[in-house]
Amino acid sequence: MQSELILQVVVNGFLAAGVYMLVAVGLNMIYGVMRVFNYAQGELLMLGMYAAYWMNVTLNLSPYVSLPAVVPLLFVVGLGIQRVIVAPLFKHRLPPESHVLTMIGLIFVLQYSAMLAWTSDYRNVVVPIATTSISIPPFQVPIGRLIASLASVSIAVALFFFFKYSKMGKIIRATCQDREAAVYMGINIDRVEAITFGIGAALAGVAAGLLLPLYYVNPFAGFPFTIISFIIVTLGGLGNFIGAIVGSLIIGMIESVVGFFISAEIASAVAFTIFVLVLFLKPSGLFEE
Amino acid sequence: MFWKIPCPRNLLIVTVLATVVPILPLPSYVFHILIMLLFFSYLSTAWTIVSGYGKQISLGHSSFVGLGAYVPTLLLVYFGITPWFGAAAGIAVSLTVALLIGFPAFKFGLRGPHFSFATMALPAILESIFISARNVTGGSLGISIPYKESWVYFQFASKIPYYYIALLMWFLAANLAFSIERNWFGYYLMAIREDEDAAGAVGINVTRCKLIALLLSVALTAWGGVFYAQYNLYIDPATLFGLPLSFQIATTSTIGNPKRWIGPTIGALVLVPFSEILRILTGATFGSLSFLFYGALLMIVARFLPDGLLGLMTKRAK
Repeated sequence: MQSELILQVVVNGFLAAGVYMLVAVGLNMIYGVMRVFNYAQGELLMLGMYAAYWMNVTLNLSPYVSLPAVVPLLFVVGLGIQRVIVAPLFKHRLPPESHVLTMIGLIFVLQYSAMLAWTSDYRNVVVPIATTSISIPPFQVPIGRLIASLASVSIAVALFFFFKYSKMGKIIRATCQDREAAVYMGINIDRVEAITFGIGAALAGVAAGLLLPLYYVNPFAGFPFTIISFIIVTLGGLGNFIGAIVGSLIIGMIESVVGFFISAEIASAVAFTIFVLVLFLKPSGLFEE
Repeated sequence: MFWKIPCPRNLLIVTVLATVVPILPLPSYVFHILIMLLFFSYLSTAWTIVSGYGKQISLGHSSFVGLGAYVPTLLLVYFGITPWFGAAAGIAVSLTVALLIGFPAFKFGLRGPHFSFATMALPAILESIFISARNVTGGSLGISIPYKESWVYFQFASKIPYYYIALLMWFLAANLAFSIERNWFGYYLMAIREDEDAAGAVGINVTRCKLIALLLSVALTAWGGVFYAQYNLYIDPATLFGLPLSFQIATTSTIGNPKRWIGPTIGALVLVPFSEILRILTGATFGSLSFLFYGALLMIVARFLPDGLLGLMTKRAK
């Protein structure tokens, strides 16, 4: 009995990891290409969740069904943010602290605009399938989390092939490796950066649709995900693809194991502590770029 | 070593003028605004010492406000110890935590965004610890400080004593920042701000300088927490350890000008009255909407005004 319980905890850890990876992947990609921490990734997630929520309320679409609308919407939002806010920072060669402060300003603006528009009420969408569990003896697997985890694995695989084989993927990787050389090769890096940011935001849109059945949305719902994603991405090594996967597994497992045996709040404290320790011992993360 | 230089005349004049303000028959919420103004000027000035002069941008200063508020309060509630002694404990705990984070961070070269991350994680860790220890701390509901009006317990019925204390805090912090800006320690910090490696190469002990700046800043910030708890008589983890407070401290200083001693005060002069008046006008629900304004202003300043509003003002003056 005891061993089954522990196995169940491990399964939960994998599912939590899947959910976190969904958010972390977009953040990691933006950093990998642009060397910008998109502190506002969680806020993009929050906007996506609201988009899915309102489509559910007005058009009665399930968040899973509205994904094809939410994802392009977020892509456009990401593109806009990149054009209006992020690109000028590069163009005028502003120092790194200006980037940090600008992104913090953006977090404030997005959170409180959302609050102005939709109040700070917690809202959710009940999707009966997502909240039920299937029983694969000896485990119970909540379907919503299973879908999110499967999606994050498929996204990871898809992104892997995209970066490895597609032309755009190669262009993005080339820009990531050496911006100046990429310019000499005739790559339009402005366009590459805009598209990268857009894809990163679109990934937040995917996450939004898949997380809405599992989590409440309010204007501040995104920020904890930003922090967790940062931890994951920094743990694994910024911009490192495999690192983000390993990072999510570490954090997911910690949350599940510590959360089960001690308490959920301590679980996040343990995760943060490990994060800080890794920063000290190996600031570049567990996997070098 | 920091006090050799006399305080700037303008600071003295403003402080002396401010001491006569309570003679005026002003309503109590005006004093509340003034106290918050002084309080945030104080906190942001403390932040500027490490994050403005030394450019070690901390996004976790709320941790120390929180520890400074919680430690004396818990000592008062459980052991009846007066906050004046509790404050020493609160500052000691904050310094210990700052040392635990700061020493390895600076020693092993945690720079730029990495340092900001590590500091950003700190209040989050503390918040979850204080929430989970709910038998002692009251969890997310927070803790009320038993009302014992007496100077022994750092509690006063009127806002005026708090006003004078806040004024003194601000005066001392601004004077300290001014002095640092004009002596060797400040020059070392600014050298580190401009180029850390070059500063190290000319013989500055970079790690030690950053650490001293951090500890000074943290000690002041923790006292700010003590003051906040005693003024507000109610503390909760979300307000004190939450990221909004950390961001607010950083924003206030940045909008003013994080490189000059008066910068944070300028920032607070713009932001605090605005947010307090908005809170009074619109009530608690939309009171925090001032953050929308903070955010927009922060983006504009980060993009267009490297020297903050102070830079804009001095440019005009020229």
